Amino acid sequence: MSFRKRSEVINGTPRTPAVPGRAGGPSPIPGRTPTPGVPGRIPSTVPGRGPLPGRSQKAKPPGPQKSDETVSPEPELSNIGIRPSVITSQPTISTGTADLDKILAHQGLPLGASLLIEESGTTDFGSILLRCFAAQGILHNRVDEAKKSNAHVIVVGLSHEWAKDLPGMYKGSSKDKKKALIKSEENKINVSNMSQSSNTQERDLKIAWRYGLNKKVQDENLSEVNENYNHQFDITERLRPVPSANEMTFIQLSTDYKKLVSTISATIEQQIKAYSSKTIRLVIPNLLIPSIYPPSLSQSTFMIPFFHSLRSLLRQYPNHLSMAVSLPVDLYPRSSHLITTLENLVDSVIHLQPFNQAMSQLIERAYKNEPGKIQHGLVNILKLPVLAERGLMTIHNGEYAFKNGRKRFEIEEWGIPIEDDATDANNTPSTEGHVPEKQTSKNIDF
Amino acid sequence: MTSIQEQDLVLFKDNSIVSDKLLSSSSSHLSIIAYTEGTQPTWFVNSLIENSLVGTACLVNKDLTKQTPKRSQVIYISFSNLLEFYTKACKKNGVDLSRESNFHFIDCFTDLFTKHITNPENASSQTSKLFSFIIKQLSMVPGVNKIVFIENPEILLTATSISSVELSNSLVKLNRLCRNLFVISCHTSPQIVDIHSKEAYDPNFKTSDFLVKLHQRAHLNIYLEPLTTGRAKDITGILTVSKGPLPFESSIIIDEKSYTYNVTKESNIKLYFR
Repeated sequence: MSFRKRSEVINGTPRTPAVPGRAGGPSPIPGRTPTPGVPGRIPSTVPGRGPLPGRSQKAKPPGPQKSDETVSPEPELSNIGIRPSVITSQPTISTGTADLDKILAHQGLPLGASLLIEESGTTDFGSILLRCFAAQGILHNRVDEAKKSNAHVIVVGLSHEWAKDLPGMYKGSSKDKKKALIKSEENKINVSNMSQSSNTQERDLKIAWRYGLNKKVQDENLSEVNENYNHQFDITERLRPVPSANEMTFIQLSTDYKKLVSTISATIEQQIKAYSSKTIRLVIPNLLIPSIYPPSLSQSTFMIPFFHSLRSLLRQYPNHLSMAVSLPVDLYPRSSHLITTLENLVDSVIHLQPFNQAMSQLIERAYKNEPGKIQHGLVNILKLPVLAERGLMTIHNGEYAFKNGRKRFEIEEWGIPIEDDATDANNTPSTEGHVPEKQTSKNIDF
Repeated sequence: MTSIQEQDLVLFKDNSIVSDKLLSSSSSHLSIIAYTEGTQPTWFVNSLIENSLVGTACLVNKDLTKQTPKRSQVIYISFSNLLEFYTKACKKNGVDLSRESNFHFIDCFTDLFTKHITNPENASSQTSKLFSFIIKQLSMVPGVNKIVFIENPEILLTATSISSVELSNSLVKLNRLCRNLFVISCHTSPQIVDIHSKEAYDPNFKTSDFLVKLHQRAHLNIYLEPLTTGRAKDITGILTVSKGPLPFESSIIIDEKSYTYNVTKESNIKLYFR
């Protein structure tokens, strides 16, 4: 006879089961150790994920790596943040924005490549993209079951405060959150849940066997091999805990670009030595903004050698390093020599062009009943990684539009919306009194 | 049913890309490959390298099938990429640059502004030292049939204090050591080339001045630009082959033509007469 309270959790902390309705993970109840390889349970070594801690030690002895390994060895498949490009099979990382990954044509940014986000006007959508880029790297460290440090973020020119504003992972709508809460309550091992679940589990198993559902669960597990490649971010949430020094390095600007480059290079070396399969995300927000960059740093004799050296670093670490930069082009227009040279030095360029007031009003009128469809500006693609270098024409002006919402930064194909008023005006009878609809409704077939 | 016929790329009237007469000539020539944003000439340069090394051009000319091993010595000087980039790119042309003894790569990219030119504000002496090193490397290559490619040297004008005259003089010295020098540079106008700029220290003025002077010394001009009518799915851009102000010897005649071309994601190239 048990004297426990019905709601009391047996054996301490609740566990998150791998499969709903089943107890997964390390068994808290003696004598109920889960058998490895049981269908329906997530296998311990899923391809693309890290091996078991005990096994990884056998494969790679701990201690300092050889110096030649730091010169860009092939990235391990065990890094959950890497997957091959759909075009070139190069190792690719997610930018943290699924739609941006899509328009970059590789389903992400290839390692060894750089992305320049230019923005017109006084808005700062570019910073959101950069924050998602950085947050995605940090999240790859936190969601990995093997607890490996998969990514490191280097931020140039800003202080630690920037890390506090990184967006948190999107946890679904309030409805989804409630559902998840109920589910987690149900999965807690307490007396009432156990008495209920023993009957339902048996029934579920019978049904699962009859309809072959177990097989389905296995297939789902296989398809979820790279489920952690990219995540959805909620810009109203904050990434907590704030990234530590192990996850993020802040490098202050210097008037000597060589010093800056050598500091970045040393940080990369250090991180790769710690874990050879680590990806490094170099982030440079608000490039050339006068409040951050003094006038001497906006000279072409500083900026071009600095960017040229960064390009050189990217090529030296083609399997580890990638870079994202945001640049407001109102102060330094695209027509200037400096910006064009910078564009030539990076591998991919997109230009965010927020709508002017008249256009915004038109869109708001057109979508007055569907506020979720209101777009905020155009995304012009000026250069795509690898493809532009091969000689492909990759300039797409005015083909995509973006909208920034709480849930995500969306990029979709752009089409000028049709105003209801305009369509109504077309449908009104003309001065001659003819109704166009009646004219077209006549059967003209012989 | 009519269809536009695919054409083979030729630069000279003898149906060649890099003519035998050019290689056997006793004088030096200058050719300029100019491009704008969106029409990078990687595929074209790869075909030139292939043709200079072995005589074929499998992606752009199906008639040039006869292989001539060790046709010329090719020296590539790059300010914007590593050797791996060209080795990888030329594999599509059936040429393995890492095994070609006649291919020489001079890396002016890796440590350009961290080791070679450390003081961009006063870079004249370091730049001349860099070009002395390049010239020394070039003179160490055996033989006289040398084809030299130099990619994006104009970055030195933007990034450092050197003048357009200094860079032009350095390239003239290089040109004297080879049969043909191909200068590959970006000509986006008015961002890079702006003939109205007047400030002598303005990078825009320096680059424009350099490129205009270079064109005045050129024998052959090749220009890759996007379609003026806007983006098309099946056409990448326009390739124009034209004579430079300086003439070749009487036996070498440029086949002045304009092609439209298409480059696919797999780096396949199709050329059509315009």
